[in-house]
Amino acid sequence: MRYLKRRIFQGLGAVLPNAWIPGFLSASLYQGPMKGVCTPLLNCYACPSALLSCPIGSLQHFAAAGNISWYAVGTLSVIGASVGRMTCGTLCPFGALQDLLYKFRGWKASLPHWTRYLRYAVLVGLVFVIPFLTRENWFSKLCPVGTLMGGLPWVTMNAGVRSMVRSMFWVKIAILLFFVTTSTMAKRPFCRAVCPLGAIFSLFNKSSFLQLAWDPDTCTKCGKCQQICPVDIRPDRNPTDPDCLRCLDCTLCPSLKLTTVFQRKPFGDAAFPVPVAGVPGVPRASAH
Amino acid sequence: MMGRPVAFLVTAVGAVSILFFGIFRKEIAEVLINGALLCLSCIGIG
Repeated sequence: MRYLKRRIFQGLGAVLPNAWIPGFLSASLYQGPMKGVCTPLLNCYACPSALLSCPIGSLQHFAAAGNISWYAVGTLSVIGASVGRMTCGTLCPFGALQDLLYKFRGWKASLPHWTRYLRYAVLVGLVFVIPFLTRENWFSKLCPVGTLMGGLPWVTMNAGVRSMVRSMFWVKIAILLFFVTTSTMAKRPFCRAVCPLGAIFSLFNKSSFLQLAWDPDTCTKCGKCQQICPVDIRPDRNPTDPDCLRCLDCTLCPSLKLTTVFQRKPFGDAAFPVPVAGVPGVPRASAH
Repeated sequence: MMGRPVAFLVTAVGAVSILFFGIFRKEIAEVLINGALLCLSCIGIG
């Protein structure tokens, strides 16, 4: 139950943007004013219960029309500047699914370091350049979140949609199954290697308002932070790592804590000698 | 190290400006219409 608070937030991230239950009951799509709001999550707006719009879908739609969605870019930039990638770690439902799948016991592997750069290629290629050139939403065509939240419910509920299923649908199913399978072996493979929304938010990790702070004076370099990290990074080596989801699991360790960009000494002034075990004048660093 | 606070302030001002520019261009209406239509690409049939 160490991560109960994060699991509750991930549950809310899955339920609240998809709270239009009549959509499932009547096999219809919500068309009210909330659909004009971009969610800070990869949450498919084709899901029958989706209340909000997918920001990547909106960016693609504008790119396919030869425009830039300043509204979607601005929304994501405001969220990124505030919390960095925190929504990926604490709210994203597909991230939560991958977290749960990794709990299956079995063979585990690490993703190669270079895979982290693929998500930027996906962002530029599949969200902007290819939709602009082909006038088609190519990321949506391949998105496993769309298959899970939009494709499977619609094909199950609606005979008309079912009759329109062609080979592309099965390609999407194969992509979804690939990520479901690899999520049991590697930590969050989709978020780390593919997610274009994560690629956008990761650009803000270094300068966002909320920051992860690391205390070199108390850190023993035990590496437990990497073991519990959902994306397999060492926050003690780089607390502003672009891969960091700001899930705050590692803040169970007293050497890591959440702080703000304006806090210059989040762990206090280590330059002054701090009394340790009744010995005045002994610096904290020498206590180990 | 004033770099990060300055970078945050510049980013925050830029982000809010871009957001309001998008709202000023009435892009919310287009996002709303796009979101209200069934995305066949997302489902895998378009």
